[in-house]
Amino acid sequence: MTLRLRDVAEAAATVLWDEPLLKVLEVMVGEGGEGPYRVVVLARHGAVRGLITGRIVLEVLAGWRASALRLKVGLRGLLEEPVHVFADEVYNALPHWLGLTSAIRYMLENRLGYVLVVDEHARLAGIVEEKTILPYLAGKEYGVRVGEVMERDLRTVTPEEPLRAALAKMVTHMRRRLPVVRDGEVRGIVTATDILSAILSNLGKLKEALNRSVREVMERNITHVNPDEDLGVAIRRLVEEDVSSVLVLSGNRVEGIVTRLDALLAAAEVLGADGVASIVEARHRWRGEVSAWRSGRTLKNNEAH
Amino acid sequence: MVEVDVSGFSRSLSDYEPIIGSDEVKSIMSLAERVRGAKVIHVNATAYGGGVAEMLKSLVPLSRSVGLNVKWEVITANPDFFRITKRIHNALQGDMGITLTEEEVRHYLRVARDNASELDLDGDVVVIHDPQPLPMIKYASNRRAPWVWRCHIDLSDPNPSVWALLKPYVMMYDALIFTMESYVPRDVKGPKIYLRRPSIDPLSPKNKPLMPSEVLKVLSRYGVDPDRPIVGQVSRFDPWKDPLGVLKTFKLVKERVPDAQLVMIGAFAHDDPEGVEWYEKTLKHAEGLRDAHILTNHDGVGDYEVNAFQRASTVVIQLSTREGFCLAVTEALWKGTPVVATRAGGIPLQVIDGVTGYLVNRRDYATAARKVVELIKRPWLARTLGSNGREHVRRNFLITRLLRDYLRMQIDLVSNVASRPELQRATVSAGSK
Repeated sequence: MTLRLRDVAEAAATVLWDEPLLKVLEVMVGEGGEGPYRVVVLARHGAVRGLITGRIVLEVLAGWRASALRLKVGLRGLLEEPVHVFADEVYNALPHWLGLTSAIRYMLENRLGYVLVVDEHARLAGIVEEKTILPYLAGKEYGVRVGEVMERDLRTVTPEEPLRAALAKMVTHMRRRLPVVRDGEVRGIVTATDILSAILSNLGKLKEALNRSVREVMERNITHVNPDEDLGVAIRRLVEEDVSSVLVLSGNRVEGIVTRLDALLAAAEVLGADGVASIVEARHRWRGEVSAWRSGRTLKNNEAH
Repeated sequence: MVEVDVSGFSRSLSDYEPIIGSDEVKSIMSLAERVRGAKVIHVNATAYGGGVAEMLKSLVPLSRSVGLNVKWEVITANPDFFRITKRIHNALQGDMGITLTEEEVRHYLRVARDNASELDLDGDVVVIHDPQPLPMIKYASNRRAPWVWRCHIDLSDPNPSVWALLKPYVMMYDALIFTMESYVPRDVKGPKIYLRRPSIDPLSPKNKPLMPSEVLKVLSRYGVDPDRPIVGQVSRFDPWKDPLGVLKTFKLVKERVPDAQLVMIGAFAHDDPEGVEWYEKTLKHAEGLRDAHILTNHDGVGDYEVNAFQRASTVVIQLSTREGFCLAVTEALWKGTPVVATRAGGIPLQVIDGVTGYLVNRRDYATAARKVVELIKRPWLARTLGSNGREHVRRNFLITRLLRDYLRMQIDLVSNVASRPELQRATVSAGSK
């Protein structure tokens, strides 16, 4: 039986279209600052109305988006505005019955980090992202060096710079994470979620929040690989550490970065889109069989007792 | 500069309710309330032919219907100017062999300056479409509204010398709109960047439902047999659309399906001087090729006829080597016609391989022909793919989406909300919900 999108789709984080932007901020920061980067905006009957990402929220907070509205209602007022004012349209909604192979090919052909899965009435049925697929591709050797696939065009901040500078760099250069570097050596990484979290914890005092130094919020435990390692190592780290990117280090010097999407696209270069899809299919089935076998064994054990 | 009269295309958002649902209409109205009365000026190079004019023809009246004060202006220029801008277009799409002469650059800028002096600057947002009117921003005096450049073409790998000429003008804009992230040149940093997909109007003459009798009448007028397979193609006559490749593919199809017919339709757009040359080249290559109907607006083929042919086609082909988005594909899919197309630009966003049609590599005519034949020989497959295509367009590429995108952008950019009582009222009432 062909695996369908609905078989692998995961639950997406959602908000209703008329809920305030603040709600999105809370969802994205989540408990412990580890919420989702993408939040789907829904109508009351569940139809997809848009998508809002961490980048959009950063752009709003940086005054890049809705600047006119902000002049009128102020930042606090902006956070009370309904989320559909800020969301982007979704152009990657695919039906739940679509074969997984077709969906993966579609994502890879178009270099998409996600597709939304919808039912016959355009109601949200789930999301398939890079991070949905990557775990199936872990544990393989690809014969490609990380140095060949990493993004070299890096934007960095220093630990001393204020969050406002990091925010400006993320918005201007369309990045969601920046390596923190001092004297040529990496000290940490700061992500969009770190900045959103700092803002949420100091609401009403945005200036103060953004004047904090990068050092105060950056993640010091860096997930990294070296440029000579195989792509498979980068994928394994992304999956095991559940991070959206790994830094590529030579000693303590940052050479580049590999995001989940970079890794997925690079794996597809090696395996082909159909190759990726068939691995996902095979491993998904195998997992299903293992879990069925496990639950069967548990049942037998229970019966025996 | 000439203002385009779209009064013949009257639209109301409620007309779309049966297609998009009342909830969607409500959400659009609530966004529109916030910018009610805002004056938006669109400027492009032609009122007829090509996807941009097609979209504006619907977007402008639709935006007016939700309370915006929208004007659509078309620049005035002589044929020499359009020969130059076509070269610029080709260079930006990756033709590395083009170098503009000093005189060409002077002419390009002179037209921009002349048109800018006529532009009605009293707007809240000015949206300039594509490279033809791009430098107008430099010559617009007393510029107080935000200016947005909507680039409909792929700028991922432009000719460096031509890009170097245009980039300073691009950087003067407050915001840029691209179709896809990969189209954004890496060295553009500064203006706000929006990513927006184009879309089609399901109620326009080109896309509205037609009775079978209407379709049959059109086919009969042009001598196309409704009982034999039809391979359709709607595109400008342009090297990037590979019209000669379409003929090659059709020849291969004919070997397997001798009664197949080809209907190739192109419009001569005002801003496309290469059109006639490529039309003649296409005609020459089609000499002796039986059942190839090559039609243009000069044969009386307008939106209505295109609609009929897209509906009557057994399969539509689109073999572009470079593309922006390709609304001709969207239109065909909306009519439930499966599409065989190349992996170019925005086409793979629309053609899901094996689901809404088939994707082939550029210039792989043998595979394209094989896929066309497969769809002709298996009507059930063509029907299934066609029906999937229509739903894919409904979910993702209808004009009401574009309207919502533009409304959000205007909410972002309209800076004088506080100074205009009608805007202030609208914002307050929406905000107090």
